[in-house]
Amino acid sequence: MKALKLMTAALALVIGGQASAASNQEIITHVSYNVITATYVELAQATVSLKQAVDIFVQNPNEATLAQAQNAWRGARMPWEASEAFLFGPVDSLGIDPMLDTWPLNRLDLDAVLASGRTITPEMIRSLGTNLQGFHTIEYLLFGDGVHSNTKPISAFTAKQFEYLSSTAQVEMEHAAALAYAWTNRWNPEDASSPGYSAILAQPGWNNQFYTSEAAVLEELVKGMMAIADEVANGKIADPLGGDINSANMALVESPFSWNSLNDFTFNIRSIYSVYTGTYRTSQGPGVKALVERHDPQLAQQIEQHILGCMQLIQAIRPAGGGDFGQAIFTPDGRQRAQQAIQALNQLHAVLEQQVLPLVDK
Amino acid sequence: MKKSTLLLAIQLFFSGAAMAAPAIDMDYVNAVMSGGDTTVIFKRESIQAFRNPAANLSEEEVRRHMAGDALFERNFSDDPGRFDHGLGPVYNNTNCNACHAKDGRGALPVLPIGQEKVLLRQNEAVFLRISIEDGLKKVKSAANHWGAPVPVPGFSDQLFHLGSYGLREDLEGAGQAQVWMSFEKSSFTYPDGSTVELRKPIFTVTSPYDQYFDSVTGQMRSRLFEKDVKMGPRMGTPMIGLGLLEAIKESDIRALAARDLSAEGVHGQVNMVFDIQKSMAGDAYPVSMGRFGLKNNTPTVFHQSLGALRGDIGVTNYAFPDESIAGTALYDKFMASRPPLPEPQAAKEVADDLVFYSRTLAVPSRRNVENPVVIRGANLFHQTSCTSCHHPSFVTGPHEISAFANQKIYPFTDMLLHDMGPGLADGRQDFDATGNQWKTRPLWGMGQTQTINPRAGFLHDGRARTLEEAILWHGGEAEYSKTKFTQLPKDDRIALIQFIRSL
Repeated sequence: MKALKLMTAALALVIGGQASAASNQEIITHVSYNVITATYVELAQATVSLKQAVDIFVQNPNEATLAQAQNAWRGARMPWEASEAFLFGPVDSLGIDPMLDTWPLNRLDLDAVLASGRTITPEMIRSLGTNLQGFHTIEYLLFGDGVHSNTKPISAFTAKQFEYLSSTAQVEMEHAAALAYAWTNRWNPEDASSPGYSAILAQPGWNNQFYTSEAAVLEELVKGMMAIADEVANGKIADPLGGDINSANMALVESPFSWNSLNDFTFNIRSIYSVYTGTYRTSQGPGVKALVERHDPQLAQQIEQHILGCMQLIQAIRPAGGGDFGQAIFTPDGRQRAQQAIQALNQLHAVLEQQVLPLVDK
Repeated sequence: MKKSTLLLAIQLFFSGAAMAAPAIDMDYVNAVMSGGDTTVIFKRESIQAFRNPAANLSEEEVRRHMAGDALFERNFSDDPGRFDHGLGPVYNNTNCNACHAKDGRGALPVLPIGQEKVLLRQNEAVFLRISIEDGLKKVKSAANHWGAPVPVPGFSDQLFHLGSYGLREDLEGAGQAQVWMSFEKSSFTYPDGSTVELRKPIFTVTSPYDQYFDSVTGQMRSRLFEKDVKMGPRMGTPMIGLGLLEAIKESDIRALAARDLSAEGVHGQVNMVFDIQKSMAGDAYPVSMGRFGLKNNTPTVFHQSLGALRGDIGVTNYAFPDESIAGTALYDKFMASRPPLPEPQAAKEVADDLVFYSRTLAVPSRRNVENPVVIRGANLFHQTSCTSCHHPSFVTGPHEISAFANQKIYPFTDMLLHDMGPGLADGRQDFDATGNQWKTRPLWGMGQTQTINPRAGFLHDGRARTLEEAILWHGGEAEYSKTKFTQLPKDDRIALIQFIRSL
């Protein structure tokens, strides 16, 4: 059965060249296996690399091994941020999202743990709050407080921080592995007969517990794209921006320590691009674009360009003199560029809602 | 419609005792707009189904809703460097969304295959209510907090399994105690021979902060382990349509309580509970009809939401300015080593925006209404008397938010308490509710619940993995309907469940 599903997925990949002829089922199959599941598999691999890089750094701390660990953090951040257009299924039901990505970090308690002199182990991390583990805890420990720079001198690392880093990277890796396993093999860890969630998403129908029709899955995909476009525009960018320069708030900026915010946002929109075009890494096949193409090839192309344009506008917020989003929001021209990105993202949201969503019914 | 009316007539004829009951409006079979004009149209299933503001709010009201939305998802922190600090020192979760995933229902912790029990850690959607009882009902008075459950001395009326770092020197991250979950399994056999495995979560408590070794008995002792302590699990419930439930006329609910459904063994009861808003206004008898909480133990969304903000997350606010565990040894010891925090921790605007958000989440429209199986199931729903408690519709009365006033709504609840039998009982009194009674859960949105959260569990403790399991747990006053359901042919049972999935 599994082999058959993989064959189907591979077939979808082959016919990707003639995406305009793809059926709704082919879109769903390709996106389920080759975009969503592939993203989570990459996340699992990237967190293994992160754990390895952290351990190499901890065993032999120097500038080169620190840089490798920091790069591994950025590398793991990519597939995670590139999954935010499809935050449905196991990422929620297994409670994995908050384990990986709770913001803000609780620095008060983190300092208390580090000062306590207790042995820090993965088991201990599991007993601590979601706001004391995951990406942002690792980020803070690897990059420093992000106020004046996003680099931390080797001399600032303590033995306790090494313990914490290694342990929390271990727990992060385990959660990412559980998420990938839930999509590839078994969505419900308590039920040995449950399939991977990819199979659930790829086989909608009256007997499917979660999606009774192909149209339901397509709607979920389109609404997922809309949700993250809105979240980046009106949450992640607009909240820290505030109403004016005096109400800009650094405390609301996500990923402020590594100065990775703009890359985070860009990869969020990359997840829209993946679902829309059916492109993920080297994999190509029909995405939601194929649905639009059936009705209006020109519109299909315009939307793809619009998505790419949003990514460019987000990158353009980066201050010329260095820094990232957290610095840009305190400059008039940075704020203006941020407003342009917000506007483009809101337009994308409107196009998806008004012009793509209705096509699900046609 | 004609068929529906006919079925109703047959039902009335055979039940005999339904004369005093307000007639069931069978238009629910075809109704699509479950929340009247507030309904957001969802043609299909989606994880976004519970996340929208009511469709008929004004622009200004939508703006307030969105402000509350951001707060609902935000993680509170006990870090004074954070703008939204206030978490703890004890809590069950760090944000609202954690128990109400995407504004929907929570799930029990994962118990991996081959493992006997699991420790409740971070991000669980379940906690334990606790209280002490001497078994006697008391007249409501200020002295007994108008009939409220009596908190366990040294604890609260809620067991907090999480705590700020340093609260427990012996256990990192733990709150007042550790809580473990295991399952008790059983099986139900239909008259037609088919079986369904059922499971009930069993919670055990270890390492309470006050425990000590009793050298006389040779056992660990704690106030929590005394015989008069009652505990009952509670699962996060969906957030949709709460403003509409608030707008149902009290007289309509009382009329349902006055029905004579004794032939079915059904006796709906009102819970009269403490009302924080009346108390804040200086009312000498601050008691109102309960509408929210699994035992109808709070009267308003304001009371329920701000109680949960202080209780579940430990964020004090202007309605509940004291920490849940203020005055306990655990609290005093912890605070002795920390600078005092500003009280209350949530600004009035934050609290009000959270309440506004909680009142204004839309109910999604029904789906697959024209499917013949769904239509058959809808009629079976009445034939098996499910409608006696899951009362299909109301027309709302006036409401502070005008969007909720005068709406024909289909919540499928009578808003009343019912004895649900020993299988579901938690043994805890809550104002007028006995240990066997639970509020009839609204069924609107049921068909979206497990798309939103695939592991979402039904019933007060999330034990039921499927709607079928949930039905089979019905006992007590629901025994009559459950028996009728179990005697249906399998196709009819499936049709009835497909109807609930259409909601």
